[in-house]
Amino acid sequence: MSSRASSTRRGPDPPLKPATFLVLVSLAAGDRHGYALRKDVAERSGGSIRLGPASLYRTIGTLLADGLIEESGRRPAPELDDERRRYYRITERGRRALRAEISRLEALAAAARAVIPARVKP
Amino acid sequence: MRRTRPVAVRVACLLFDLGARILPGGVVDGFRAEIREGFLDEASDSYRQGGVWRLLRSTCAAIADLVLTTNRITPSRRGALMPALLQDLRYAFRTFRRQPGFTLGALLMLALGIGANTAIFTLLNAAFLRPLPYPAADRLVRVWGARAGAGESRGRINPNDAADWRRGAPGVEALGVSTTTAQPLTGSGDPAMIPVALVSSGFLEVLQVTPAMGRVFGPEHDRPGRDTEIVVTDGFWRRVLASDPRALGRIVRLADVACTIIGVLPPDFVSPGMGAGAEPQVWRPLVVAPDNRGGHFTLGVARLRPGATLAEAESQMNAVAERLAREFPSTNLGQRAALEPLREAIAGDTRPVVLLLMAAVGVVLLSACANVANLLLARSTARERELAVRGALGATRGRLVRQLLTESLLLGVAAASAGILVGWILLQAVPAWLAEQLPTVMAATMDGRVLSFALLLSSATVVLFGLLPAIVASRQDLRGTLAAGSPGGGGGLRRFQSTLIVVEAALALILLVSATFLVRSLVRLQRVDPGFTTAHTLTFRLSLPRTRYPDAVRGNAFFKTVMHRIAAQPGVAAVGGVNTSPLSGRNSCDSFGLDDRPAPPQGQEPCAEVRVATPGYFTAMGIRLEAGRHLSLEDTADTQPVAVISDSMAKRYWPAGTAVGQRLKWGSVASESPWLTIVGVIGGVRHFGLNELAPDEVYMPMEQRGAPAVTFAVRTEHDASALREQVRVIIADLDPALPVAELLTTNELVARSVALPAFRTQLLTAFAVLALLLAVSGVYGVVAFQVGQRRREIGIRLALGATSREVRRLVVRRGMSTVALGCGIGVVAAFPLMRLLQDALFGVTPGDPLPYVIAPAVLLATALAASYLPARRATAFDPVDTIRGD
Repeated sequence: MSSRASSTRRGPDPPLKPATFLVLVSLAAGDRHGYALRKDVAERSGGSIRLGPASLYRTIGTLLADGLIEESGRRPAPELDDERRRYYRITERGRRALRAEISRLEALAAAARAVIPARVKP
Repeated sequence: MRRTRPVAVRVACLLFDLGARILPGGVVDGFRAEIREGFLDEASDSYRQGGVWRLLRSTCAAIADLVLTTNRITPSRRGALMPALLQDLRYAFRTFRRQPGFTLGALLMLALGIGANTAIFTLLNAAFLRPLPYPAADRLVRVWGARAGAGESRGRINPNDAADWRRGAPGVEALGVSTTTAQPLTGSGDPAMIPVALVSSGFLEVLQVTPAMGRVFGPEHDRPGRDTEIVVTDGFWRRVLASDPRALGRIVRLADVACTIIGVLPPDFVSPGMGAGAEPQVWRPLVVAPDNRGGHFTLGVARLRPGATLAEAESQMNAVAERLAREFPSTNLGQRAALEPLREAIAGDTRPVVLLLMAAVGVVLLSACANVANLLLARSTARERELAVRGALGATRGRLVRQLLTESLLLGVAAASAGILVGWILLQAVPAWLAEQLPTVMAATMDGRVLSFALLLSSATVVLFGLLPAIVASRQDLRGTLAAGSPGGGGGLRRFQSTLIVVEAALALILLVSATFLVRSLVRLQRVDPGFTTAHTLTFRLSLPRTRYPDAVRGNAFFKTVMHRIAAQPGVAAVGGVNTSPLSGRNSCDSFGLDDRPAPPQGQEPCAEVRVATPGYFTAMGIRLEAGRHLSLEDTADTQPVAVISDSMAKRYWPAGTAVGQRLKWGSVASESPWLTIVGVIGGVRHFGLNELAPDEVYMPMEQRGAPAVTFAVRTEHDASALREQVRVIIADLDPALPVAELLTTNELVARSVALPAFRTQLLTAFAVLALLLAVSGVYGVVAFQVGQRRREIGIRLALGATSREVRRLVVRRGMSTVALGCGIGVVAAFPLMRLLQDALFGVTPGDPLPYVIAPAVLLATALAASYLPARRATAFDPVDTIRGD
């Protein structure tokens, strides 16, 4: 299993892990705190990717270190808020990485489709 | 914003925190609080959505995630986990191997505790938890008959009433009725009585049985003409029909009638608790005259429509019952339907017994846990220096706790495996004939649920006996221990050990008190005079098929020959027969009218058990004659009809002792049946069990009123059971197609009737003794340990002139004071608890003081012995050695 590149490394980004990818997608849709993020990821993956509390923060830690996401200063209305919660948002760099990953996946999918066409309904 | 969270969620969070602290790895740096918060949110959601079960699952998943994630991603820790775990395990193995006595003792206690729990839980599972083996079994209900006036709430029902109830109740999808009997099977090897179920066509439909072969009954079988078509069980098909693939259409002779097999039931089919141990092997159609409303002899079972509730169905049926009461007032007045979930109806009376036993084995396991916890504590105190050195060398507290927990876990896994084995062995030890008294559908078999229970129990056990000592031990002050250089075992530890002993003693005392109550009750029960002799008497039953013995004349002639032949055997003192044997519990109460007083209003006539006996019966059975005379050979069909009644009946109606010479008549005074003149009064015979008073009985001579089935009693001069083979030979000689049933000595007859209370008492006594042994070995362990800890002090005392006697008294007093405290708590706690036993007691009230004296005496005496042994060893120390020793 390939480990994530550190933020100092240049060159083409290695493929994102599905969980990381979905965390970025989720944050691209809006700022969230940890637990909301986990629920959103589970929902977006149709339940196939469930991050445990510790794996989520491991992913967040890596993304923060890589500069793909950052802590958000924006907070919801105080009565809905819990002071211990930190909110995260995607950085510009994160969006670029996400776009790159989407293109990469599309290219891969296109290459595959050339061999195995999508099932067409009669 | 702070919200209060449910207790379950807080417990889950505590577990999670604990996991985060002591499991290898730990938590990603910098996110500790957030991970915890995230888990709390998730836990609350899971609990809200799916209750405790879902919460448990997400907690386990989160803890697993914790271990896996942190290990995978932290380079410095990668690869450290497995070796660390292996290291822990290896280390644990080594320490256990070094202390085989401790290991074996702990293992034995836990295995016994877990084993007993597994076995009793298997019974509990079979009785209350496991779904009945029918499709959508939760919609099945038992249909009882309730009679408002008679105070009867769970009686049998009339088949025609039941069919009407069903038609008027839209909430009921199907309903069937059944009754069980035994019929002789002939023409297939030795003649034998086999259990037969008579059912309406709806019965197998309610259970949704798909036959393995052929078909089951249809509506055409509820009418006369098709009642010789039968459905047989898989067991019958294999055993009697030798698994004949062309069994359909084959003929078997049942009750001397040729019956055609139309279907074979699937192998896994069992009846819904019918025949209580005599699982029906053949199913026959039940045909009832359409105008029969008075006979209440069937059990009903119904399937509710999806969505219909039990209460709805019951009120719908009772609307019909009220209409029937108006239509047929003489038979149906006050007759109502009462529904009960089928699973509860089958488990019936076993519930309090099983719960009692479950509580008892729970106590045994708790005691075992407390003992092992004490052993581990003592052991970890002895290892204080080792732990302190490891701590000083850099092991974190979490690491030390983990090491200790690994050891407990290893012990727990071994104990669980041994425990499941012990449980299985215990279940095998249940005598087969006793298991036969329970319905087959309640057969105690281990399934996935039992195994999960055993595993869950073992895990809980590990936490109970392992975690506390681990935390206590790892809390020791490192520097203090290293500096002092001698084992300490501070006041906190001693208090903890003493608390465990107090709890154990209290629990053991409660069990001892319960066991004493049950033993006393059983002894009283066994001392009850059954009303007949239990020595040297053999009984057996013959049922004559109507085809070959169509009337009483032929039947009586045959029975006379039987008695004549048996009386001619050497050693036989008396022979007689009766239609319904003592303690058989067969119900035959019939109403009667008396000559010397006005008739009671219709429907309120008194009733008495109908008995038909031969003249020799009372002598053979050893039944006392109280007044008048026995039935005699001179009472024949041509002489005046006579009767002998039981003394309870004589006292009830003629308290002045003037029963002999009075006249009674079956039915009512106005009925057609002849007047019977009472010629004698005999002692009462227990019929429904030793704990039930002898019912009112009326005996008539067999010559004046025949009986198709008779139980014979043979009184011998020596061993009655030696006659068994001769009886078989004689009957086979007289009628080769007639099976001999219920061939038992009167002793066995009585033993059988107290089998269940006896078994219950033996089991509870065994558990109480187990708890006592555990408590006492706990006391021994703790006192011995404390003596070891106080060697120096004892040595100094001896050196300063204390006598051995004083030292012994000192040690014993310490041990006994904890036990005495436990004893006191136990007595106080037992008092209200014994009220729950009330229903299981016979001849003893929960207020009986004796058990409260015996049980503490036993506990204190054994505990005294257990603390005296180490005390004697304490004074054997050489004071000089011990003081210089350290």
